[in-house]
Amino acid sequence: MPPPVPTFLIAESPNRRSSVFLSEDDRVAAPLEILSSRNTSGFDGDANPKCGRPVYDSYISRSQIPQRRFAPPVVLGNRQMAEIADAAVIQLWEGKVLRVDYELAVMEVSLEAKMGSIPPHSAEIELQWVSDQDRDLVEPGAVFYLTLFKRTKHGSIENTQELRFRRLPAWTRQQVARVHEDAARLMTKMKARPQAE
Amino acid sequence: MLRTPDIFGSSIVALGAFNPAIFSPDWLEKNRLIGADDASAAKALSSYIISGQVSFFETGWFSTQVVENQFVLNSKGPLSPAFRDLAMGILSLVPHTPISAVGLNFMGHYRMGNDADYHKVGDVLAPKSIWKDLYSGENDSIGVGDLTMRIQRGPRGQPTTKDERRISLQSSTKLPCALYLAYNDHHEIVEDRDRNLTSAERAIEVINNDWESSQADALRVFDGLISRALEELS
Amino acid sequence: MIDYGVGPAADELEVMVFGPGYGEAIAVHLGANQWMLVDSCLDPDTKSPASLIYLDRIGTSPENVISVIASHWHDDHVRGFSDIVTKCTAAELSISATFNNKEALAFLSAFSGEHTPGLAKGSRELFQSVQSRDSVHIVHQRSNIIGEQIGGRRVQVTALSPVESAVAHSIARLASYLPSPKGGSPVKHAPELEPNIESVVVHIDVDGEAILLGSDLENHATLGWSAVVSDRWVSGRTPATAYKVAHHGSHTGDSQAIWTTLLQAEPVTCMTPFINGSVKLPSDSDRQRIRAATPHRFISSGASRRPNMDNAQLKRLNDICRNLAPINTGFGAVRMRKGVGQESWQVQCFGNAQPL
Repeated sequence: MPPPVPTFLIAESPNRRSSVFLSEDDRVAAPLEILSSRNTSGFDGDANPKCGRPVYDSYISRSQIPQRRFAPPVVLGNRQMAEIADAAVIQLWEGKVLRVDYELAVMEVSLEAKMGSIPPHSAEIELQWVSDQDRDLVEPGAVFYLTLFKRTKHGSIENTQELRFRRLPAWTRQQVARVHEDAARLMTKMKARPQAE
Repeated sequence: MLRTPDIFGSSIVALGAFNPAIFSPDWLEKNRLIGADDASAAKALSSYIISGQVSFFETGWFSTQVVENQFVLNSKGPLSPAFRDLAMGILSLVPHTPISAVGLNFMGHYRMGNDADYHKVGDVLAPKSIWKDLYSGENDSIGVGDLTMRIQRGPRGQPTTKDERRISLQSSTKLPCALYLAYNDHHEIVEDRDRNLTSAERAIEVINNDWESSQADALRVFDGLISRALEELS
Repeated sequence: MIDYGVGPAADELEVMVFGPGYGEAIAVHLGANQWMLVDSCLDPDTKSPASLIYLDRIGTSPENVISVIASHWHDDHVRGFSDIVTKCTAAELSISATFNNKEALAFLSAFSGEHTPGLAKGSRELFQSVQSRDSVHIVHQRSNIIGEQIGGRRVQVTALSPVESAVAHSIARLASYLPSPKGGSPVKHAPELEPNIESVVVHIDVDGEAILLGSDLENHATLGWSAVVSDRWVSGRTPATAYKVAHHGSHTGDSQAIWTTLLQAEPVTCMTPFINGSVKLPSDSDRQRIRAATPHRFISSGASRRPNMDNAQLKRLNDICRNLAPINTGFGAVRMRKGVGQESWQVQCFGNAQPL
């Protein structure tokens, strides 16, 4: 027998279509095991502050209850899922590869900070910092994200970083057709200048 | 300087008509949206499901679940624009999928310094006086379970668009003495016949144009709510 | 915030060159408060086009800009360019004749980010600029950009490049980067083609007083500077007394013939640096060469290479990066001004600008 459906769903007005909140309709329609996690600790007012260890789902869940309002229930087939570390981002750099020296296994990059007002910088990064699966993406012009963050795992905090290359899907036929439509349209604007004497 | 959340993540949700069976790690790898290692890792996990009714798989940095009327991408670990790129990339592989709405969601857990601050925020945003009158018994204690506000465009009762934002506040179940805030930026999607864009392409455009700004707005609002609530009673 | 003082008098010529370390923009006063803007870079404080900020600070409306030129489409020369095109509604827009071709225009569209998500830079600025106008003037060697009386003086602005063969060559190169019509090509970022042979070099002649704006044109046996200066019509232009040095002072943008054919002896020169990773222009040998060519040489920005961030961030980055250095060494501008009857140009340096 599945656990009871939580009763704290956002009440959707009858004439409103399903939103990207989890609505009653979505939940009923999906033939999935529904997880129930009740937040037993009220906070503020006269409630006893429950500042001890929170009650977790029996499934280790990244998501707080309202998150299920934004997404349907997650089916977790195996309770022995790897524990997911929590991360607090300190800085995010958007980088672009300028040059690659394959012999020295180094790439020259430009870096733009996404947080705060640090001006752009250039640097060299050894290719060892690029994951194996991203190596074939390293070429001049390629964009990557360098995230510097603090990770809390098993109660301890470590400073670490992640370098991930941007992956864009391939051109579709329709997109290429639109490019050429643009070109034809822009051609009609081009006007020659008279020759100077 | 905005408060840094202790935990922060995002999910991108699209409503439409999907075929869950095609959303697999191999499909993403073949289209170069994820690397070989991510694809292998996803298939090795026992949570991996691909079927006609539902698909679910996860890697170290995202999980995705697709049912017939909904596509969900959840971030894991440190959030970067690669997550947004992945959502756009996946939807671009199905440009003719009818999509009716897109939600850009951000969630943050914020540790409060002490019990007093932890309670202050709830007291300011949801004053208790009326509730205490109604439940005045010695054994009645009142607290915020969930507070959600809706921000629409246009005068009250006369929204100019169906797009809207919702911001929710709860006690965190992940961290002690912490608040959980959630931000939903909801967009209704229709195809754009003038520009010959399908609804999926419009959804991609919304994600491309709005994900970063919604993230920035979420952080601004989360910080603003906490800061203003703490200032109110100090 | 830079205090630029007062603008030029109605009969004063002025060339203002802006450069932050990565980026270049030029504003030219042709007389009678009529202006021409070439390329664009961003003012670091406002993130708006530096030329427009300058005009605003000296009390001049964008409506006084009669011509806007994009010498080429590279990122360091067009940041904020579409903003200039939008605001200078009275100005005619001129671009390289390379783009008088469907495939070249398709290149602009393909790399603009309009049709594929994620390509936010590349050719976006030029694409948006062209898109926003009803008409766009294409220029090549001998094109007349301005030919009229301004403030009682005969003003002739002409393009010395690109040469016809360079146009054809550039089109072919741009076309080779277009995605296949069948789809399936990977989306890549716009390449910056080298050498740069499609740039527009601008010659300005105001009643016999000439200025040369060298853009980023580079040398090439038959298609770059060599082809330009060997043209008889070009070599007949009035030698310039003020020169915006081509290609950030690099030897690839230099040619002895420029100094002997297109310039008077010891002209006033200025340039903008280009810093992009290990590429730093002008190099030490470039500086020596230019110092030998003229005693009047200025650069819009200095050479500070110290990382510009707090220590905590620097420490974290140094775990994974080395040779960290700011791309922009500090925003500056060089102003060259000459009144009617004056013997020489008056030069002022603003911000981080300094003698070379």
